Amino acid sequence: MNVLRSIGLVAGLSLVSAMPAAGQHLPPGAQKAMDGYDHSTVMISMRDGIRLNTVVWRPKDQAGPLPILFQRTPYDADGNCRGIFFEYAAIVREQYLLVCQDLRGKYGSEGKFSMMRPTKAPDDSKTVDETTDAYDAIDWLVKNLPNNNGRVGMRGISYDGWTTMMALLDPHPALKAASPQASPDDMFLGDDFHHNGAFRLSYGFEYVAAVDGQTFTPYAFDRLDTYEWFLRLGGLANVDGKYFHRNKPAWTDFTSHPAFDEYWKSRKVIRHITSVKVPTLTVAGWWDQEDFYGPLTIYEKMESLDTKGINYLVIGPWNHGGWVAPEGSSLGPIQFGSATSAFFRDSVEARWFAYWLKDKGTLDLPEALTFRAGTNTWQRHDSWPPKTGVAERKLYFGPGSRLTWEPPAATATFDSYVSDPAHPVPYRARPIVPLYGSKPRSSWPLWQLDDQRHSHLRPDVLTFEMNPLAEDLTISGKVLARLFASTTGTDADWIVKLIDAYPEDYPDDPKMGGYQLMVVGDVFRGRFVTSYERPAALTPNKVTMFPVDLHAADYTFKRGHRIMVQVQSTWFPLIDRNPQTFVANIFEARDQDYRAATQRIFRSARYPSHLAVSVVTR
Amino acid sequence: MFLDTLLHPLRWFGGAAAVSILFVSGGAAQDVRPDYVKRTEMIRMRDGVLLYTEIFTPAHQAGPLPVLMERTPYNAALIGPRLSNRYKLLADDAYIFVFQDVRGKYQSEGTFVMIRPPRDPKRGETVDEGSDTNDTIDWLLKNLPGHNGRVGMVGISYGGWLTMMALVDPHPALKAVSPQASPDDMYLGDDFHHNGTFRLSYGFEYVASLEAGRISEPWRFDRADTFEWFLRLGGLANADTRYFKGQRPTWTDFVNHPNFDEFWQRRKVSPVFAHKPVTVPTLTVAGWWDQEDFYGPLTIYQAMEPNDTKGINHIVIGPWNHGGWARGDGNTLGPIQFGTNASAWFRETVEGPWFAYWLKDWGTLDLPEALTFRAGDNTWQRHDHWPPRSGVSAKSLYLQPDGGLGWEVPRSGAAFSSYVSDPNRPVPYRRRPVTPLYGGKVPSTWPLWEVDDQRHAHLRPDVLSFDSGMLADDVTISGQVTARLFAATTGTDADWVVKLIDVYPEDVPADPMMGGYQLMVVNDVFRARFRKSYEHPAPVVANQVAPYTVDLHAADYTFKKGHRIMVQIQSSWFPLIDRNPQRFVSNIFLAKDVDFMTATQRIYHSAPYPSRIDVSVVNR
Repeated sequence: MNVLRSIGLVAGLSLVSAMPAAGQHLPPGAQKAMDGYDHSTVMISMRDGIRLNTVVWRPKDQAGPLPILFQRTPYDADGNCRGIFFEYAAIVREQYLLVCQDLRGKYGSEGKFSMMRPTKAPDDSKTVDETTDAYDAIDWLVKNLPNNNGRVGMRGISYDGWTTMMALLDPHPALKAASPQASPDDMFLGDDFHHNGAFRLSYGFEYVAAVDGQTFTPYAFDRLDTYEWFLRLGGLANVDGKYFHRNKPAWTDFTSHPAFDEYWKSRKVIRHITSVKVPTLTVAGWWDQEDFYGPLTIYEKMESLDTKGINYLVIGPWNHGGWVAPEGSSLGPIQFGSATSAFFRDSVEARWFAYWLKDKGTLDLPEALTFRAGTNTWQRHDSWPPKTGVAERKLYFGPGSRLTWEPPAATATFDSYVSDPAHPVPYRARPIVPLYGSKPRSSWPLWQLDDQRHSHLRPDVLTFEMNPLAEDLTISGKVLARLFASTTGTDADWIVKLIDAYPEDYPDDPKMGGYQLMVVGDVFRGRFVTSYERPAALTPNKVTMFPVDLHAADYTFKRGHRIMVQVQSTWFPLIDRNPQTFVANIFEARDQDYRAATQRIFRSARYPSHLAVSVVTR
Repeated sequence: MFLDTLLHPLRWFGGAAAVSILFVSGGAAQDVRPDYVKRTEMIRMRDGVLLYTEIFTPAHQAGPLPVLMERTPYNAALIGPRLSNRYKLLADDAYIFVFQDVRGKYQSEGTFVMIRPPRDPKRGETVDEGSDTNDTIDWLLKNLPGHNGRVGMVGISYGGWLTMMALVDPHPALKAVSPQASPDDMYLGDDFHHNGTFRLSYGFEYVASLEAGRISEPWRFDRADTFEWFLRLGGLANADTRYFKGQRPTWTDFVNHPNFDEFWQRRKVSPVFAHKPVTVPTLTVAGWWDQEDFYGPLTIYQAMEPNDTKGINHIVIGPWNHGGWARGDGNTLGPIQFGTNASAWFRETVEGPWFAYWLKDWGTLDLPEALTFRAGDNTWQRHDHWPPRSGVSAKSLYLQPDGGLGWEVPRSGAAFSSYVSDPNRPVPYRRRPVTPLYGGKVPSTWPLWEVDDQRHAHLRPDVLSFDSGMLADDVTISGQVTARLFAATTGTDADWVVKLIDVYPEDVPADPMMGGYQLMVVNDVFRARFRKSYEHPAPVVANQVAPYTVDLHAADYTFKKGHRIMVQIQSSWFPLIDRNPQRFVSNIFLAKDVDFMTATQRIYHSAPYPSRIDVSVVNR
């Protein structure tokens, strides 16, 4: 959820908290743009009297009333506004009153920070939340900022995307356009902190350690390789016992809410969306390592309520916030053939705000605009996921590690592996350096592009693959894995990765020969197979269908490439270790609860494990 | 055993940043230095075969000069340009350089035989590399103007072995020989096998290329990752069926000689020298991280030393990979820093003066019996003996329950640790993709694999790790290193791989990426079927604890304060080592897919079965 704002995505990423503060050196272009603006700060009172630190940047050569472009952030409003000069030349040139505000309890604001502060009940007039704070701030801004045109736009990435969503729940009448970008929707089912009930350990730990305080302070690990650090940690109760000592409220909340209870539900964004009143542009990245579920889910919910046709979606070939990269013509070693980020900012986002806030130009935006990696083209869709021109097909696991379009005929066949939580599969090649480390620099924002050969052919990973494709094959829409599986344990994690295996001989870029690029991947925690609210022990050795939501893709597997699926039961320390013995609360599991289990993945007529994909037919 | 001709000339200049290997199919890549004049000769051997020879003479020769000769299977025509780099200092001193293709390679006539054994008249053999050397020296002395009657020989790897062959029955004019990284034994410790295990990727690629014909050609893999290629190959019999089709004689020899039979025994170098007085000054050179021939130089030196009544047998071991002393300045190896230009220093201070002393009577010889570089401390050490006899104590690092490593026999705790070894899912010997050793589309980093970070294997389910904890003081080992395991398997054959590792401190401020780095100090593998005899392999009794000795050779290394000592144990190391089927078969080269089976391995760490690493610790 933390926005890793990029100065150069390929070269490396820097944290938003590392944005240059006042007086620090900026690139010449950004410095010149900033010199064209004046800035000031103001403390704006909320309805409960708490004052929020707010930064305002105004063009020196302002000719007439301008709209306000507003961001609300837990990551330092001052740095946040300066970042606009780094990243959004088109918006700076267009001229807005740029306003950035610290959330309660962060940096210069008063009050108390609450991670993903829950939305108050509609009839509760006493409580404040991010929706009321946004409302109060906008109200003050349009009434008090000289020379504004009465229109406000909001935008933000990640947590700031979420605060944009919060503003949309009960929007101030002056809010005329909003772009929630990589906003999380649900911290238990699909975004930063959990995926399908499995805890995102390294991210959850590091994010909370850094953010749950007045400033952003990365955790100082005493090991370079966090894989080993988290493994030596043992049971998760040791986090509070050894390190946090219950001084990190968000961590305490994790440990107190191990199932999808009201705590998580009340924070689920789409539960609170009841109408679409403000033009909304949702933005997502296919390789977003933090919030991919969120924007897709939010867009889908809003679309069902979009009576005016003002709800839009853009999905590009980006990691978390990658659309602020200077070019976006590549991500890690993957090439996209055009400057996708620059295109988005200049041709989509800047025009979109100018249209709604300044009545400039026309809007040439389809319902959904997606970048199709592989063919490397932008696709315009009437609906997302596409309803026409596609057909659902199933990729079945077959004998001999094959992946096939043919349903299995055999009875009672399976592949198996031993999953040992004491020796979990690393989610990337070791050493796995801290997510927010600068020495050495973290490559966390690129992990989803890693070559999956690091886990391929391990004893604890199954692989199924097709022969090289005779023709291009494009999938566009939802992807869902249905695993028919059993375990000798009483709980289990099921990780499924859909992979594009490059041709062995790749003359364009020889080092990419045989590269295994993850297209989509996710985990499902077995205990939740009947209910996220009420987890239950699995029956040992009983075959069960586990759905693993792989979300969506718009991707072309090129001729000569191979489609591959990998299945495993650990993904460490991205995901905490499942003890594989059912316990009421995994955050309280003891060392002896962690046991090796033998997993079976079935591929029979009765139990045809497969991935359901939406194949483009024309 | 592969070297320079297959390495791009630029490798010399690449330093630590890049080690690029590619095949050069002929033609001089660089000009020869202008102060030397080249001529070529076809020199007739006793059986009439003509060997292609290049001779480089100083353009302005002042007086008689000694001859310095290198013989090679890797294309003699490529050596001349090295007068500007590898041989620069020697060329500055002025020698008559002679470079010769061995028979059957490149521009020489005759038939190439891989590691041709010394001739056996009973077999009707009339020539060998020694006779070819002597015939060449005879011709040179008779036909070459301006020589001083003395000949020196030098060579690395196969070239080092050729210098050893010259010593079998040395020509009287041969006055100084430096065998550098010469293999000794292709079955027990050098290129093709280690302790009876087959070095699959190396054996395959080397033979495929060197025996492609008179001109070597790298094997063209149809996969980027050779780990997967070799795994998909299945049983090794498929190599001939699918690819070689009997056209690689050495591969056929591998298949036909799976044990340490007479074929391998008569190719072993050191027995020839076991009782032969050392008459020619000999300077053996080895690298601690030599990925091809480390056993060879140590074994050869030790075989010759008891017969060295004149004190003319010396050894130098530096912080190098295969041939690293001949390239660059040697300040680093991969990411490892040595704080000094170990290679340049060797060439300037040891090699050059040594040849000048014996061949030109220049200066005096200030060389100890053995000179070793002690990484960690990063100092050169002078020894009266190698391995050292004084100032050291024999100690043992015992594997402990719960993954510890300590100097005491464990008295309590679990008796063993276990893991499952699945030959169909072997442990990669380096991080994937494991690119081809030679001629791949991306530059090979094979020469650096022994300095890879071993975290890629650490904490896998099929690898055991034992860790000393942080050292309160420096620990220096100097001398032999031997692992003594007590182990059991549910199978009837097994491989035991042991790696002794220096774990860096987690925080290395000067180089943050080195935090927690796991650097292999020594390593090797033992194949259980040979526990009683390399000649007559026998099945292991399933589930029975047995002692195994894994020779880890030698080290001179300081584990610094704040570092940790680690031992990793595993049962596959692929495709460096072929897969042990784990079911005893008479010839693993003929094993069928069904023979490969999963086994559960137990490594014991109890009072009755105290698995350990025997080391020689420097007294403080």
